[in-house]
Amino acid sequence: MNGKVNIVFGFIYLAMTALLGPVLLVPQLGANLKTMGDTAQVVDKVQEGLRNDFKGFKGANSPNKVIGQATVSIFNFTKNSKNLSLLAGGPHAHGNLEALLNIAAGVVLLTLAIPANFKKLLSILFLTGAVFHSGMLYLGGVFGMMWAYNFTIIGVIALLAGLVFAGIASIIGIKQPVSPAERGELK
Amino acid sequence: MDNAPYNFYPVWDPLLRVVHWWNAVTVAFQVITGSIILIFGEEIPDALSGNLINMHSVVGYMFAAGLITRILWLFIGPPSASWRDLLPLTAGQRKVLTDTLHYYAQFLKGAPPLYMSHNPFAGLIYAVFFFLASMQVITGVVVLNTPEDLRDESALLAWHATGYILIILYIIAHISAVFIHEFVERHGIIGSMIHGSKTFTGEEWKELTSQNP
Repeated sequence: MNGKVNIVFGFIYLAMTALLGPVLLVPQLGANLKTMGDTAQVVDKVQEGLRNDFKGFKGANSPNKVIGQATVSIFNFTKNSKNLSLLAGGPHAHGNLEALLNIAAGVVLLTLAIPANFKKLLSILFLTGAVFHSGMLYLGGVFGMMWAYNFTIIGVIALLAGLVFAGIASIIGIKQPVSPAERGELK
Repeated sequence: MDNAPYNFYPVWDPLLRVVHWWNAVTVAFQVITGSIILIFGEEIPDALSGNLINMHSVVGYMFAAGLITRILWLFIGPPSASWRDLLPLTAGQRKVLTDTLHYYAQFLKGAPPLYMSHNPFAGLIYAVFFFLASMQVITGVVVLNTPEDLRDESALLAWHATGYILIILYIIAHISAVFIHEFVERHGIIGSMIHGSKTFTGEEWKELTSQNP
């Protein structure tokens, strides 16, 4: 628990969260663009009707039907966008960021001159932060396990603690390298 | 009181001291902002009230960060920060606990009980505080995530307010006990939370280290 675990976890977790882009986000993005196009067309019809008081809107194009279609289309577009943002803003963006944070934290922990149990503490905080924050967003957003969102707060607090105390660890643990001449080894 | 020279002996690790003061400052801020919200809630203009709640929430998260660190440190920190040092698990700790209660019952007459890091009675109170503070964090987060118009009706807000009163009682008890022990025992417990070392006579230190080799 001196930083190596964070680096290993970070790379594997990054693979899992980055994968959400091509596997889930890109296909949904295409579907979302199509819904947006359909919505724009039907909303255009409603706007045209509003301009001329729906004159000539009869049969399949009666005002009620056109407005109803526009409402349903807007609802579908909003729903798709919400799904997209749940994936993009949740497990994909936060997961990538927290995976990279664990890699960076691991590298820093390997180089800091601080007691071993302090390193262990920071390592656990960053791992807990990623697993309980973006990990729970992953379970909720990708697998629909809505109960998981309740646990994200643990991750938020652990990440916050990790960041604050990593700052303190850096104050005491980053040492200026001493050259052999300064150590008196060279004459 | 004998005139034996007192020496400094390291007791508290640096992280424990940093977390202690981090928690102390954030709790003090939370009590001040919480008191303003609770006492003047209705009279405060909406904009100011919103800012106060934002500050209370941000510092609440900062306190939660300190609390989770201290709780983890109970399990991976050095012996003086460990949960084993808080709870009266050994016969020696239980003896100091009963001696402390006896000492209080006699209004601080006689020799105060000798202990190296946490007084076992105080340790028990700290364990209760960790639980109480965790409940404050949980109820605070849930209330914050409740829609604004439903917050006042939330039962958790009442729990949060009760926890606030218990924490104020804890602060009063903690500070009073620290000052009393500081002046009666002369082990420099206030300074020790800054520089990490308590003062003991050579004989006291010998006795303590022979109990906890």
